[in-house]
Amino acid sequence: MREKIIIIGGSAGSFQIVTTILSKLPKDFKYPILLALHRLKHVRHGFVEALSLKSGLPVVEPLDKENIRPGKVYLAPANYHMYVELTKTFALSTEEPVNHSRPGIDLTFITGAYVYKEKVVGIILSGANKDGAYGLKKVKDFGGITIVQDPKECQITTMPVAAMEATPVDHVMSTEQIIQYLNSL
Amino acid sequence: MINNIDEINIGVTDIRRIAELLKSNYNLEINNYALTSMKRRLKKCISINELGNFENLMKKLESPEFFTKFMNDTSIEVTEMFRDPAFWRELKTQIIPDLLKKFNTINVWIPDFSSADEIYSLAILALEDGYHSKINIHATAVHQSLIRPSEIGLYQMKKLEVSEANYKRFNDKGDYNQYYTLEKFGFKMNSNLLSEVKFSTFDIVKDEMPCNYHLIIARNQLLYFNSNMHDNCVTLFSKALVKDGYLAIGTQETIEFCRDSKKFTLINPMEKIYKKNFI
Repeated sequence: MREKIIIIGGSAGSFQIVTTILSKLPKDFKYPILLALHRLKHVRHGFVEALSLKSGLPVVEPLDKENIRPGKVYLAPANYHMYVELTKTFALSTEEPVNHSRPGIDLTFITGAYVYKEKVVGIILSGANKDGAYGLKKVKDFGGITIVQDPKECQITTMPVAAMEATPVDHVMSTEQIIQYLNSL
Repeated sequence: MINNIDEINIGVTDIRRIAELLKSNYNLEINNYALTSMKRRLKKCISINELGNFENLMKKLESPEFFTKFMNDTSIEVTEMFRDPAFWRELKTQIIPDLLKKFNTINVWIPDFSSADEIYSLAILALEDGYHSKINIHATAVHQSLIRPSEIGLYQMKKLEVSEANYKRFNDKGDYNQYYTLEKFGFKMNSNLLSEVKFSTFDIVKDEMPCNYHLIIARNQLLYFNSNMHDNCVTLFSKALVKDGYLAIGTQETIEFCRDSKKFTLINPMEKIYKKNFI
């Protein structure tokens, strides 16, 4: 089995998409999925539960230094940045917001790309700011696959459009196509 | 801003080189910090000081004056006063009252106090509940250059909104305005809040074991250490606390993989508050 890691970034309008994607992945999905989603700072509980409802895969908010394991979905905890560490563990941080966000999408993508290189499948979904555009570019720079949700389908197009402006992405896909793609890996 | 920082290259050999320089010139040990966040802090320092690249940072570090700036530019900001208001309410309603039942004065250790957010949060809490004089706060930093009396409690304006919002969630009947004065470019916390606070240096690698603390507030500190140092810190904390003393760490941190994890009982899983067991 070739190692891969799926990193998904999103903001406003992405929650439905993520739950749909998670509901259509098999229980034995072979790769870890990292979710770097903008979220309300003070809502520390409920988001993971909501995502878990229809997900075939377990969804957790990783603790600092937790191992990255295949077949698990990791949601960046509220008010923390979620880095990928060289030891293939999570490193959390309370450093200043990036692109006004903590968790910052760019940071998960950048560190994920640095560690996993061509094994990364980076996906940017609907969102209202440019967080993640630079991060997706880094995925491309390190040889990974880059996907954006088709702006025509997005509730808010700013995020995927910014990503496409930052780098020539490999695929512009609808939610259905993203699901098919992930299932084909 | 992120583009500038990320484009700066720092490799593993670079980290080794700067670690050697800091050790030999300034007796500072940085080998046990978590790698990714350490790199980001170095890159941030290079960017803030417009040094352009890592080599220039190495050159600049030969000057002791710059070293002080370096220490401050790379220090971690806890970033928010009353971060996780629910934690501070738990401290206020459960932990501190419990300690006051058993002890006349409470010794609190706040290691690596950085931006002093936790110090002020605790001081305000103590003041509001009338036991300001019963709490001794010992705030330590790893190096003397991080203790700057003239700058403590002086914050940029952008921090005020977050601090106030958190405070409101902690105490919706309180008035945060009474705790600071507006300055030219920011705000300054009242100096009386620090009346029970002592500052000193403490380096886990070199210094002697502290002890007799009733409460250690080390929230979101372990994040920045590697596993080895994380483990050593927990051992240190277990020795520094009296029986039935409390340890508070960050909500997404854990001590479960540490050699001395059994010395603690997790009494509040949401807010990650531990009680030290007997032994």
